[in-house]
Amino acid sequence: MFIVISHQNPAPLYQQVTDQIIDAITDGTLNPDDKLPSIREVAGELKISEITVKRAYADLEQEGYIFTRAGMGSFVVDINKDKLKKMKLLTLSSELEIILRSNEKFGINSKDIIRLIKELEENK
Amino acid sequence: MWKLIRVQSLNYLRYLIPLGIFLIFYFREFYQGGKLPVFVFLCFWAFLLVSGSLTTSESYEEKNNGYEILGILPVTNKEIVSSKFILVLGTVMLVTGLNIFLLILRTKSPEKLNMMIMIGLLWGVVCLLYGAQMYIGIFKFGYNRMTKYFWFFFLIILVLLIFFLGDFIFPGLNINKQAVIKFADSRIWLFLVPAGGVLYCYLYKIAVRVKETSEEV
Amino acid sequence: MKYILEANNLRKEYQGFTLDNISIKLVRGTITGLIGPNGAGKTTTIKLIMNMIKKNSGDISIFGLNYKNDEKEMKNRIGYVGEEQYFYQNKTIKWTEKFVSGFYNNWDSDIFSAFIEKFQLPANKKIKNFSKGMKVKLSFAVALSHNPELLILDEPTSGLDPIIRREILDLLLELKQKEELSVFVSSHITDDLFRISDHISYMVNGKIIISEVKDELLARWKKINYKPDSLPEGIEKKLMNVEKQLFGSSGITDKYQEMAGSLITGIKQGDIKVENVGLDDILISLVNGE
Repeated sequence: MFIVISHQNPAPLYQQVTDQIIDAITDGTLNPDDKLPSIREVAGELKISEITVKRAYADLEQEGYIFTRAGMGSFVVDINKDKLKKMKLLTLSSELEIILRSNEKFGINSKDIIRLIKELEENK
Repeated sequence: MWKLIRVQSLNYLRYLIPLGIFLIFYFREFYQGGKLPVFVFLCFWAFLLVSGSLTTSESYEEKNNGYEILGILPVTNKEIVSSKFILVLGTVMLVTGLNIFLLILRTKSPEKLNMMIMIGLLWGVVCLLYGAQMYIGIFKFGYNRMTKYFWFFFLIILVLLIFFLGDFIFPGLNINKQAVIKFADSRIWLFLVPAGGVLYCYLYKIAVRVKETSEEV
Repeated sequence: MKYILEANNLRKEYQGFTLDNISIKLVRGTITGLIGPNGAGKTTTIKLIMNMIKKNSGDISIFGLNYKNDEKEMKNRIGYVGEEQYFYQNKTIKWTEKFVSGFYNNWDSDIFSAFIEKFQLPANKKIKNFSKGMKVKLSFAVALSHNPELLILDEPTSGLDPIIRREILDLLLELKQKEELSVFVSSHITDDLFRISDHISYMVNGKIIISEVKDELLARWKKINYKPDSLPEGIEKKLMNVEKQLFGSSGITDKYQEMAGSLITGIKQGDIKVENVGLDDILISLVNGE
């Protein structure tokens, strides 16, 4: 699992952890029923406080990505891949909105952007 | 440079005033028939004044990091040293002049007067050289280390005082009374005054060099 | 004359410490920050430049003049604020101005009064009752009231609370707008120098290791976070301060522009994440590299 904590990132630290764990679940780095590293371990490795990690794990649990068994640790929920994709699309949509709105003033519209995306795909 | 002298002379004066009052009190006492010859006391007084005002002034600078303050300002080491040496010279001249004036007032016999003027002047030279070497020491080693040697110099001065003037303090002792009187008559001592002045200028040059190369800022 | 200050091969030996043939060039109208850990020789360097201590060898030229012949003129054109602020303790600001102003050719009483007012310093209170912050402010007022062309500051913000620190930094930024003023400032508080400097010099163990325009320095130095094995051949060996952890590795490079091209694929795939570094990260890498 690849987690980078950046103090230059305006997002709060716990959210940076949550987001990157969700990414790992989405891209298959973490599979259902995989055991997550302990809170203490994550805090130690990333040099952040245990309270931050605890908050991240609580959020993940509440949003239904992980579950916790007393005394055994936290595990990845067998989550529907479609649901994950839907979540990702939701974030992507808000990112795209920023791209769209911020480029309107240059006369760039959705058609131009769609064309660019297609070109990028072809060049791959 | 004159600014430096003016500011520092206040520190010198601070010491001069109480001692001056002291002097007037004692002088009255002696004038009215005290046993200790006046000029012995005067010499001692002169030394105390020069050394005391120098020490007061330097301890004030030390306490306030005066040399650090000057280090920032547009003033050269030469000017700093000059101001100190002029102040010492001024104090010595003032005190010696006053001494000789008081001696002339007090003494009636002309032979004695000659000797007393000699002692007054030569003592001034001693004070002058004492001040010069103190400053060289302070520039070289810093004020704190130099004050540790103060008692050493004090002792030397005391020995000098007793050696030359012991007979006048304790008339029965007879250490070298005749020699001193003879020396006074020979007038060779007249050369010692300018010689002291030349030595003082030489010490001034050394002091400038020491100040310019020393690390004690 | 491009450089307002040029020091070449300055050397100063103390017992157990040597300032080792350092050279400094200060471009007119810029702020140069000297960064280094405590004991690196920053204060020694500045005291040499101020002619407060004697060099063993080397030469210093300020405004094209040297201390041997023109100390007075040079000091007339330099403003200095030291780590410790020395004043006659039982005197007031009023007295201090009278004392100090007499030494300068071009003392401007109006500027001084304006600073005293701006800093809200009491004119008739004895300086021994001043706080550290007030003394620093008074030092700045003294250093700036004779219209200096060069301002030399030795750890001007150390020991100050954040509010006064900010006030001092804002003052420096304001002065920076006046292009005729050049500033040489040392600090171990890298945040402060980050804000104000145009040019950065790093000093470690009595040597100047880096001396560079700040923006170029920061473009060159980056922190690279990467998934293990995601770096192209040979890159990892070039990184400094490499830390390998459970959640990925990281390292610092001082040649980012050279390796940026080879990292681009990794960056696109999200396996490599590049971050800016602070001046203190650079300092730590340099100290570790020593």
